[in-house]
Amino acid sequence: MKTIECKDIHFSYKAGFLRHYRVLKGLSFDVDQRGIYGFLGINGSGKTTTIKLLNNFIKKDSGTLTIFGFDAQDIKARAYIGYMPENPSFYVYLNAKEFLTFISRLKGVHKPEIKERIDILIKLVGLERHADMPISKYSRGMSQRLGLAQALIGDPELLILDEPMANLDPIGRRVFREIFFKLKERGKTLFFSTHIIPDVEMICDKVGILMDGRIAKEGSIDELLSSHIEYIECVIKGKEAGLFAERHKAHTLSVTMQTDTAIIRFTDKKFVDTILKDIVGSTVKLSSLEEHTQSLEDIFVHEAGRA
Amino acid sequence: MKKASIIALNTLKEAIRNRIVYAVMILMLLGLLASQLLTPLTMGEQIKVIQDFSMTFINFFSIIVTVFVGTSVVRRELDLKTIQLILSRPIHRYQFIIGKFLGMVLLDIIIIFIMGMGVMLNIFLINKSVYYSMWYFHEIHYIAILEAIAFMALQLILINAVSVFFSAITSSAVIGALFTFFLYVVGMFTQNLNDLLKMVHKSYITWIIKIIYYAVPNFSTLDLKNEAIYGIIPNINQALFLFSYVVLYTGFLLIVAILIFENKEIR
Ligand SMILES: Nc1ncnc2c1ncn2[C@@H]1O[C@H](COP(=O)(O)OP(=O)(O)OP(=O)(O)O)[C@@H](O)[C@H]1O
Ligand SMILES: [Mg+2]
Repeated sequence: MKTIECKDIHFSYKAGFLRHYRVLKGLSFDVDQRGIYGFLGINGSGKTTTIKLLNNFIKKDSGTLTIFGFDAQDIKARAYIGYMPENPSFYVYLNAKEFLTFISRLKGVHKPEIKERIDILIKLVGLERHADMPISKYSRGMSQRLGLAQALIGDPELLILDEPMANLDPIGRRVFREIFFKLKERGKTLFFSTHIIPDVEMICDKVGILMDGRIAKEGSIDELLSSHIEYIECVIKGKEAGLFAERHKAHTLSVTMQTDTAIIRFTDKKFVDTILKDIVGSTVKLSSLEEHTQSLEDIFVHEAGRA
Repeated sequence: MKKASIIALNTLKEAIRNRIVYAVMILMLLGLLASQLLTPLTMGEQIKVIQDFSMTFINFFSIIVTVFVGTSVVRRELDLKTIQLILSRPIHRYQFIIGKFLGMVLLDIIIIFIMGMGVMLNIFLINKSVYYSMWYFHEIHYIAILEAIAFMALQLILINAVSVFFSAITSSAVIGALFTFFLYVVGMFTQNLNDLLKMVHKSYITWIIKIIYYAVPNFSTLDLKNEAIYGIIPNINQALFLFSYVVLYTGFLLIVAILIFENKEIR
């Protein structure tokens, strides 16, 4: 069973009686159990909207959306989810401990365990020194940390995080990253939206790029990158390197010669075999063979530009 | 019910930690105290004036607090988006609304309890000081006054239901509060509407007045202050009737609010 199954979702915000603002136009994607799914998209592409649908805050116009096999509108789906909103805000009259206790009770955490678990969570996100301070005095980064702590209450199977790393300092980022890896190790599923690409590259197992109301591209980071190979570079060494390069000129993008070294660049993957066979039968030696891909950022910007 | 009660207790906590609620409560107690200092008016009259003043005073201010707290309690959750942190848990929207409402009812009961004690004490002390100065005990109908105060709590509960209703249909706490207060004022004048009815003869106007008369919550029938001073208390049937009126009207408003809320976009 998939953690999230999203099929052909349409959604528009209603502004007034007649005006509709179409945000999702046939959105489909799956999130497998275990692992980290990065939900990418430019500002206003509909990431938060999708997350609101997952939480049943808004109702889709059409399509199906299930979480662990339950309709996203079913209250049973809620039991599996830990949700962290973008720019979370809290009850100003409570401190972190009181707030987390309140949420624990709503989530149905066994009462005698609440206190101990909250202490662990507060430590985990690094709020020990601020646990008794009114939340109204929190900085944005501290709110973000509390946002993650409250999402983790009740040890949910699926974490839905809307731009969890925004507002965090480098230390906070590292803390969050480590928490995410630990959760993954424990078999949890993470679904998070972001447009911070380095985070995605470091953390995510799978990425979906949301564009114009649909998933424009989806796959593991490796898959995405390998579909965007710019060229393959092969470095050959030996006295006959120049001759060797000359022989294959027809298939290459460019050849750069240094003394006894040829750097051959080509784009066709099938050519790798040809060249390797030829190397075996000749006096030259293979020094390196490397794919040069576009960065995820290039792909993202490229996809964004198409919309 | 358990989920709703967790929400209710948190709502009560919010209200109790609200400085404005404190300030008004203290203001109310000070006001009662100040009435002690009023110089004696005519013998006997003074006691009536004090009773009337005490009850009117706490009635007015408790309604202000209730309107103010009631409309912000739901609206603020929506405006600050804290509602997202609640509704993303396994909890139904109706449980949220009922919890919020029950939290306000708890606040009503606390306010009325404290203020009611204040009023009783106030009247008791004044009567005693009158006794010392004039060797004359005015007869005070404590039971009737208690009952009038209890009916103030019913007014507040009805107001809570109105403010939950307006929180669900309007998009601003201020507008919600204004509508709630407006409806209360109209509800206090429904008796006069009845008199108006006898004077107009155009049929469509009578219809409009009749609709308003029946649709608007009838706050004036819950106002027993004047009767209480003279020891007139509603008999058990009347009391039961008024009580069921509040229950039914409140239930109706909450159900409509819940139905609206079920389909509301949480932003
Ligand atoms: N309540 C609303 N009413 C009308 N339109 C809305 C509403 N909320 C969002 N939108 C519009 O829907 C589109 C998608 O918004 P959404 O918040 O889902 O984007 P996002 O991908 O989360 O962007 P960001 O990266 O800035 O957080 C935007 O164009 C936005 O203007
Ligand atoms: Mg967003």
